[in-house]
Amino acid sequence: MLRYAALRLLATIPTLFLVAVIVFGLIRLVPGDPASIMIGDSADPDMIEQVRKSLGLDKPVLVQFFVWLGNLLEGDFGRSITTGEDILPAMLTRLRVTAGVVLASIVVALLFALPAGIYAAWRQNSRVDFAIVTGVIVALSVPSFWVGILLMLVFGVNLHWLPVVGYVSIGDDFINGVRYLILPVAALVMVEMGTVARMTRSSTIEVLRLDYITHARAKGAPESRVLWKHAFPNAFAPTLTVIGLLLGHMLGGVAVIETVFTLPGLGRFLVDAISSRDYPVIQGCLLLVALIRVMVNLLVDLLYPLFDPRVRL
Amino acid sequence: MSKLLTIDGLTVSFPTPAGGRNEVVKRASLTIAPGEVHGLVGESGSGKTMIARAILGLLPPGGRIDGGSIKFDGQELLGLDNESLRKLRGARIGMVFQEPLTSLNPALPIGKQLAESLALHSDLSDAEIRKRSIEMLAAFRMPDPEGCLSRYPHEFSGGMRQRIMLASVLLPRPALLLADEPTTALDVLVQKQVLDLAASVCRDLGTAILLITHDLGVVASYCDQVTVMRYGEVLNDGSVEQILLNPSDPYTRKLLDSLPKRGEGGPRTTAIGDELLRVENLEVHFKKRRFFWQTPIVKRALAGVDVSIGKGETLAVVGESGSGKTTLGRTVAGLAKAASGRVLFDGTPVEQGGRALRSRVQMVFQDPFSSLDPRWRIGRVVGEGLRHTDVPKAERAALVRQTLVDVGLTEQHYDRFPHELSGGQRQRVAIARAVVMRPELIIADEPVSALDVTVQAQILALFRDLQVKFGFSYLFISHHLGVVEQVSDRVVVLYQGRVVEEGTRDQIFDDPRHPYTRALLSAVPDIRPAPGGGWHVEVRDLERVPPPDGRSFIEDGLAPVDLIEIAPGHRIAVAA
Repeated sequence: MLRYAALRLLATIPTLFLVAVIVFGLIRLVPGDPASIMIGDSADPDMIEQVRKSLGLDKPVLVQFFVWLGNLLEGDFGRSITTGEDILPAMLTRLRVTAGVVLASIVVALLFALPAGIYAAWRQNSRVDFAIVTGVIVALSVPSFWVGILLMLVFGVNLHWLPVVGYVSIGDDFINGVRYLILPVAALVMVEMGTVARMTRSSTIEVLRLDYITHARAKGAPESRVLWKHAFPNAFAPTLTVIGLLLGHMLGGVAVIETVFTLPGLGRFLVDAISSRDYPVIQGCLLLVALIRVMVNLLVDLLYPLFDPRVRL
Repeated sequence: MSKLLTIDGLTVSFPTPAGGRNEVVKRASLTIAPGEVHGLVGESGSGKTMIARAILGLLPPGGRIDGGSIKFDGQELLGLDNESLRKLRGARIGMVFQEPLTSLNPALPIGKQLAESLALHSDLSDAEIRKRSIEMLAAFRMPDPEGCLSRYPHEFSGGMRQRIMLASVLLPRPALLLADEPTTALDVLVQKQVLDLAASVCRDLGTAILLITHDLGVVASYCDQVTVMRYGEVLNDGSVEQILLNPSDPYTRKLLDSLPKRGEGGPRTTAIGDELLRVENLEVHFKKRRFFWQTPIVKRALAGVDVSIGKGETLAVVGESGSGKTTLGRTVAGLAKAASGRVLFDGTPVEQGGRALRSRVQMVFQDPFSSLDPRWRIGRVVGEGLRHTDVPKAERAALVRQTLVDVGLTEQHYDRFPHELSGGQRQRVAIARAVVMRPELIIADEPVSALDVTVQAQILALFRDLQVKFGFSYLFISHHLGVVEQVSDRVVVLYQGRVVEEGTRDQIFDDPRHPYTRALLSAVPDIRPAPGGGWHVEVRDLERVPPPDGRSFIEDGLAPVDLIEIAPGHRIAVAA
């Protein structure tokens, strides 16, 4: 298993290299030049040329790429063109914010969605099942930023229970940190619950049809045992894949939610960098996002044998 | 003697799409005495499985018991509350299912699954349960019973899993075992082994068995009493001697008449012509690897296989699952690649034959439910291959319709969809799809294994009629020896990817030499017409005969072999 993990990590190197090439190339295809955005359209061409030179943008693209790659290998992501920040620490600070919101929301979502999905499958076509399925469709159809704005209106503006905008790190002030997290987490939970509950329901329905479930009943096992001991571990494996995809997707930044709640997260960092054509930041962020995805997938694959012993690593 | 189980006038129904209810069991009655082995026979859809499910109160969703009574040990089960029923399940009445691959929970170790019903129904300590589990696995001759407990189902073969399954069900010493086609999915040798073990353990425990099966040979050799069902009704009920071997009921007689037997359909009318297919020293490998840079693990599917088929001849390939018989068919059809050796069709290597050769070789598959595209009408399914031939467009539809008639369907089937047809009709469509191409060779891979015995007899007759009419050669792949005995001219026995014996039908069935062929033949109980009327069970008990010239048979399938000829056309594998 350790060997397998090591090999998988090795196999990520070509993936990340490809991502680096694509990101680097694509960004340069987007119209708009960082230098002219920095000093404004009216600046005189000589000045723009000077700024380009100082940023190293006057060199051939291939040279730029290998300089960037060389620095990356030394752990240097470069500095932001617009703010001059060192990119790696800046990204990590913002990733912490995003990860806090996303992980908290996933945990909450699983607590509700797994039992709901299993119950709906067990009582398929009953009224409760119908209600859960309807809830899932609603949760998946309503955009999360709209839910976010509604939550802000009700709990922030009208009731004054929770702060509306801003962010306080849990590390600095736990109570306040949690208060600032509640609304963004709640806005994200909707979509996650919808996805997980739907997957759990359908895979549990599949499993409940199988012979070993009937056999468990024929042994005289009570229903709760049939569901949790026999059905759940088998139904959870496909759900785990979906959770992995969801997690990888969201850890890369939930830009919309971060914008609505003005959280200093990775997603907003990336979006801001794109609008100012901050090449090094964009490249760094996208590479980090790719790395996160790869790691989450690896983690899911390593967890798989726990639920499905047929999978050998 | 008082009865253990009495079912009286049981009616079970399911809702129909039209809103009505369809009775799948109609006023059925049967009784089982303590310790008795009771066979329940019928074709698919006869309601036999539903009876077993109704006893445990585990009907599939939508199923409802509309009337009758089920008394177990003097207690009425119908109307019993769930909690009391749950206490009977597993403890007093156990059940095993057909499919060993899906009836054990893949996520739990064997030990936990074995212990479950004892833990639920008794106050025994964990150590005591563990001890009994090991004893029970040992009774089912599982190697290393103690080590089995911590292993998972996927680590065992189908036959092993079914033994584990039986061990787990019999562990609480139930008074009644409901066994629903427990060995149908297993190879013949394994089937015999599992049934023998189950019968002997049940005898020791005094457990009665309700054995649900479509296999009359199994019923005749293991059961005391038998009940025959059709369309939800019990037709016949009594001792095996009286019901099965001297039947008075026309349906039971029809079932027995449908059993495949040698010489069915009269002597062959066409002569076997020149060689059509020659397979020389064929070797096929499967490769598997996890990362693209790793060297693949090679699994050998076939090794050193030589066979040939003449024009108009039927060559049967027999072997258990994993013996390579399907791979042989696929390689001949050009669907799998040979690692070495040659496949010559009419003198041309198959891989060089291209599309023209493809249309001269056609295939028929086992499962008539998954081999037809559900979105295509029958006419399109059958006519598809003609697009690659020089049959003019205008004549194709007429040819397809004619072919549908040739295979025993009607022209009206042209516009139907596969789901509108029964399993037997679908298999006829699959055959029509092959026949319409007017191939020279048809590869039929277990073409009747998924069919009921009466339908099977019709399809086998069809194969024969088509051969007489069009002069096809068949490569007939089957694990079912009875079927092979009926259809084949020559037989090849495959074991672990090698030919172990080859000969004419009569040589193989009357004078088998290789220990594996002998084991296969003695594992199958045959019901044959008795000379004085009625039927009798024939079990071949074949002694081991050593090969000639001081040669010896090999035990390990991987060791090198020589094929030696002991009679014209009769060859056996011996140690090299």
